[in-house]
Amino acid sequence: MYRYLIIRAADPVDCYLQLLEKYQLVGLVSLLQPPRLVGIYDDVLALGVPRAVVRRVRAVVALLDGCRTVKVVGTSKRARAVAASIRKRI
Amino acid sequence: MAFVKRGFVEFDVVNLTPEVESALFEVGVRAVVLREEAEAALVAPFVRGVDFSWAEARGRHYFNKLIHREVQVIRVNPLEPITRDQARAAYKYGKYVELPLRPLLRNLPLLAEWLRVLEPEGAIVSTAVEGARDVKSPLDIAALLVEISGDEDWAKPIKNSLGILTELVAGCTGT
Repeated sequence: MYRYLIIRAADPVDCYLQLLEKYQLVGLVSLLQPPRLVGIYDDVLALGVPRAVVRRVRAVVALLDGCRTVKVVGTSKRARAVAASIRKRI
Repeated sequence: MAFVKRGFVEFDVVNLTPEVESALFEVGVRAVVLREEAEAALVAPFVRGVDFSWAEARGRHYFNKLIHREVQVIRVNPLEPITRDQARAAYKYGKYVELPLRPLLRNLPLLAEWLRVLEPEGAIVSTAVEGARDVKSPLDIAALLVEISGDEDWAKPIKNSLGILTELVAGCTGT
């Protein structure tokens, strides 16, 4: 079961790399279920994480500079649609 | 008609520009506390010192004086944790302790110490917002506080922030 975080970031690529780096913090689940990258849309990052660790990942997002979770959705299709509709073209 | 199901409060907004405002609205913030008067279109603006009384405790010793003063919110210096007794006394006298979170995000052991001493019911957390980049999602912050303290109660200061603000504004005797 995955949930998809829509993250608005000043630098989404850097945000994604830092999240990957810190992903081990969520525990053993990180070895079994890796995060799923849905896509990067201008300043929006859509990332799927196992449902059980959503709170941990959000805690990590709070620590990153310039990143904020805007919405959490249930499917990757919905994540793509939401991310594409809230992107701000640079 | 727009209907607000739930909202959060950002307790420390330095300057409110349209970009900051839309970023705050996007993460679910519906009311902000400003340092000085400003126009707002999307969120409800409140001004500290006008809508509720507050004071800043620069150090641990100054805090004791403020507990007996007529203030509703005591903003603490995040780098100098108060003791558990002080936090309990402030809670007993009905004062909210405002904890600026920004410097603590880089110093998690200190944040953990703060979370140990403060009462979740008597705390306000604020992240200073100077530009759109500084905006944090309140639910992200709540997740961080819960994960670090291991106590579900720490989501309360965030989830009930509109309730706290209403209480502060209603309890203000006015100037």
